[in-house]
Amino acid sequence: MKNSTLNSLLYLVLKRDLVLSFRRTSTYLTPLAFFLVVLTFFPLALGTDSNFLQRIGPGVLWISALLSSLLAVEGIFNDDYKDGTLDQMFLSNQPAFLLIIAKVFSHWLITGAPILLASIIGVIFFFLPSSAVFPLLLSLTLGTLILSFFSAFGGAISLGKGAILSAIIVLPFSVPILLLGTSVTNAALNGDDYSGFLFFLGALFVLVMPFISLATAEALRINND
Amino acid sequence: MSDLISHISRINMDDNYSYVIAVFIIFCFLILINVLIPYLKLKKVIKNNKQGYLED
Amino acid sequence: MTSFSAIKKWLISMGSTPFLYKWISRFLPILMTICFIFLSISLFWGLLLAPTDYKQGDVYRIIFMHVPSSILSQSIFIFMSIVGGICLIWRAKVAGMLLRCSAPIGASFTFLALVSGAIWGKPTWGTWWVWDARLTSTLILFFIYIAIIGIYSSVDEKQKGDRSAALLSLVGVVMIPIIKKSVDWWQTLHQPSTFSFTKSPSMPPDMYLPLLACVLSFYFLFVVLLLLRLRTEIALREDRKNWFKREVLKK
Repeated sequence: MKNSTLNSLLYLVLKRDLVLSFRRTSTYLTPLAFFLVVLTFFPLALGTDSNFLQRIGPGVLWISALLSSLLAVEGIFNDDYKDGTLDQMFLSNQPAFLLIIAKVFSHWLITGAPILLASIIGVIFFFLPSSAVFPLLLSLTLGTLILSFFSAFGGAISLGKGAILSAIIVLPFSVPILLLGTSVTNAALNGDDYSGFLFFLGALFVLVMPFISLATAEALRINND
Repeated sequence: MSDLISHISRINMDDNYSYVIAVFIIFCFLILINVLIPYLKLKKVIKNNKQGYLED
Repeated sequence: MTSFSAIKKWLISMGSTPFLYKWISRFLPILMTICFIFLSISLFWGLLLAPTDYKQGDVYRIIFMHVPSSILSQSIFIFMSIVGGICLIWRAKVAGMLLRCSAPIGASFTFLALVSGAIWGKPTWGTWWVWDARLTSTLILFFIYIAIIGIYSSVDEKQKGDRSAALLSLVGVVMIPIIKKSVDWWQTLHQPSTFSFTKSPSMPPDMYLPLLACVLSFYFLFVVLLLLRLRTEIALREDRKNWFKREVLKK
């Protein structure tokens, strides 16, 4: 009985966030557009030699994904904080960190998932071979998921203080994700076995998710008092 | 003790020692900042306190 | 037995800000003097008296400032996380103040470690910077310090800022090993040659004794700098309280 109410609550939070995000087109369009724009600027600034672009491709895709997740950091909790929905979430009987997982997942669906689709364009822009597509998508999925959790934490701890502070908080912690993610794709490009890196990325995700969700809940509690 | 003095007088560092001096200067600078800033802040607080917060 | 309870009593009284402020004001001059003497002796020993390295010449003497500062930068980070945990769990005010005061000192030591590493690199490897695992993870540690300082300075309410910073330092202390491992791994994939001057063959006692002395004197220096900042932090917070006004008028 209790389990079904928990599930239904999570589903409600998810649905509410998705509906709210789709109401204003800019919420889901801006991270996507930003990703593509940043992606475009690298060949513009660094030159269009195809061999060179192939080498920097995975790294550039990852950096663009990272920067677009940072852009969306502010949006996760700020609106709810301003209109008091955050208080309601804490007043409910449900454990806060599960609600946070629901919010982060919906945030990922808006910001991270479109990046996965847009990365196909990246594969074309940087002349990456089609063998790289699958590992790239896999690593980006895991990576953007982990990044969404860190972004939630960054946004929660600097609630209302601006995007740049949140970015400074999130960026150092996103280094392992960046390193592992690019290693996956680079290994795939070289024809090496990339599964080891993927396992580590997956392990990172499993470790990070509960811990960071708890930390985010605590950060929200601190800022709400 | 005289050993020490004779050793000191025979000290002759090679050319790259200027790098060591540079690091040492940066070290002293960092200590200076970390000592001066709290001290000056404390003085300001005490001064304001004594003046009865005229500037508030 | 009685000395143990005396220590316990002293620790408890350290939790009260008036007692702490007065204690620091009383003992700081002599602590600073001892620290200055200790630091001078250790650095004099290392920078001037220790024997010259046959491979690197006299430039290696940077080690007497580089290694202690990097050890301190990591120890202070761990100290901050412990004190931060105390601040979050028990809402201890002094713990929060200790955290806030040690952050800039830790950042300074990390900065010194980075800069001294770079300056050491120029004559020994020919470049100002090398993306080796140690330097890269120290750089990221520096960024985390900046993030912590940024977070508590952006919040006006002191206790709230302390707790946010405490949370960040706890998350940081968990992430730091992961970051180090991943940078290590990434490094071995990318760099064919690894410069590991700190993993050099074991030092003769003529060299590691002054190094040990420098490390210990740096720890002492941290305590002194921390007490200095703590005193100012107490003053900033308890400005309007009666005990502080009485204390100020006494001088």
